[in-house]
Amino acid sequence: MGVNAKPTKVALRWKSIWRLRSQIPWQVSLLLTCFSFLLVLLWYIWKSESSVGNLSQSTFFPTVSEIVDGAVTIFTDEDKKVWIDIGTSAMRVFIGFLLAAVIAIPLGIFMGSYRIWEAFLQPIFEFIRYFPVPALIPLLVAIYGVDEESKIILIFLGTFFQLILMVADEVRRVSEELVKVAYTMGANSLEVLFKVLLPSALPGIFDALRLCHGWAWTYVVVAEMIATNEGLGIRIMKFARFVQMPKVMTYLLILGMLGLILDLLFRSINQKLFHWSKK
Amino acid sequence: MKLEVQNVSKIYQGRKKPIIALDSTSLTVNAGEFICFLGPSGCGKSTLLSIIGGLENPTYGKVLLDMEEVSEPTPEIGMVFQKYTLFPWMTVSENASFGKRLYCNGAKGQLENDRPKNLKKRAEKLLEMVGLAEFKNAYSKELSGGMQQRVAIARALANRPKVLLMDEPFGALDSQTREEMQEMILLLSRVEKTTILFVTHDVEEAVFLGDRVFVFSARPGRIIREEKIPFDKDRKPCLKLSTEFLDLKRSLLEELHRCHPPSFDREKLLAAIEKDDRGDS
Repeated sequence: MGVNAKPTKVALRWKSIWRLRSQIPWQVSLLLTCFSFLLVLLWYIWKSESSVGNLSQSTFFPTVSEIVDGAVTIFTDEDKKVWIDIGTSAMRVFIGFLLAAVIAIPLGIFMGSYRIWEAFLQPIFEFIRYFPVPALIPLLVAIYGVDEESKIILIFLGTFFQLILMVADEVRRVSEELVKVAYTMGANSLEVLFKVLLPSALPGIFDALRLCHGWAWTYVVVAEMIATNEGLGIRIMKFARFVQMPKVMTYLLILGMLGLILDLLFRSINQKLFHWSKK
Repeated sequence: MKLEVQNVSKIYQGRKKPIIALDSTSLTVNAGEFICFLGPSGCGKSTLLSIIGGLENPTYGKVLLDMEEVSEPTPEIGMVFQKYTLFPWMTVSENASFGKRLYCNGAKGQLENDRPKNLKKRAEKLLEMVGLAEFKNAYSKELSGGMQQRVAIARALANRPKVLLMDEPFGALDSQTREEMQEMILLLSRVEKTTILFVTHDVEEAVFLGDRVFVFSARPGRIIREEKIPFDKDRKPCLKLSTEFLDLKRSLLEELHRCHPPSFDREKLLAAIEKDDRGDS
């Protein structure tokens, strides 16, 4: 074979996509993603169309055109209720989650760095973590009343205990040698904490924020079971009470979209801030 | 500079009985010496290094640096590990001047010999010496293993430590890179006049680098032989092929094999070959 012989391009070997952890072309990846959405959509269309005429079924599975009609009504509403709902829920998520993050991040860092803090806090938090937060609603109402406070506390409780344990784990994952090498260069404990452990764990902590943030959106819907007039959660329950399923579906789609957008936002900020990270 | 290890023992509490990781060990290191600790894994040589660096406390005995006891890590004693330890969020030059920035931020003037400005210059000069000047703005994920270790060495030396401890620093590198690094560290030690304590399980590496080689045995970890290496400081890779070098290497290898019989059953394997028995009959 001559030195300049053109190498033949190797075609995609379809068998290799079944090998564990093997890379796949991005086109295939995108195609599969679209396919999954399409599958759900097709299943829904089939389900809703086949239940036309069956009163009990068709009420709960409105057809796609009914949902579109519902969405149009919601978004063309003169009071702009849907935007108020999104804004109110987002505000609750923001405040509750911010509160959780502001307390959980420093405390988690201490828990992951000092054995005394770990021994003091970790077991009790592991224990409390298993309390079903929705079951705390009566207690929260009794303590904090039915205003915003109890709703924000509920979101806080739903995310705080998860977040703090994840933050502590991220700090613990920093390699022992990194800590040792900083000590041998004359760093004291506080310098090791702030100049080595913290920056090293930050990408992981940021990812923990992304994951826990998702739960905050679940808990805001739960929190809005407590007396309120605005918010995505309470609106869904009101629509459901009057069996306005197209509108319920629209709100579910809004929640899904919001989550997806925020997730992408978190990811892209992560990549921007922590470009040095291997992940 | 004088480093003294006096009757240092390290005993871990095992599940049933105490494990003696290091049995009453003493040695003295003089300024500018290159010392190698040679032995198989688990012989306590890394434990001894950690104790000298103040990262672990001995169960008995003590370590003295210039008559002062070492009980915690100090910038006087630098350390390089086998694992890559560059701070991934810092560039190469930020890594190399990490010690200096601690100093600038008011680290109690521990580094008396140097003004902060000099330290920054030093970091840059050391990066030049290890051949990484053009990578000074790179991050660790862009560097090969050998490059990362070179930065780690520059970073440790930039602090101007009296003693540099190296715990199998080239253990994870391929053999070509390792040979290159061996020559580099020899030259660097002559430029910087730093005292180096170097842990390795590679006999050739120990003989090539060391002015003195301490051979360790395992369970309990202790020094079984001290070998003065007769070569002068100016060593080139071709030295490894000389008769004198090979004789020394053979003698040390035999010593190691004598105290550490193979952990597999040699007789059984040889018998199996004889009988062509593959274990499925």
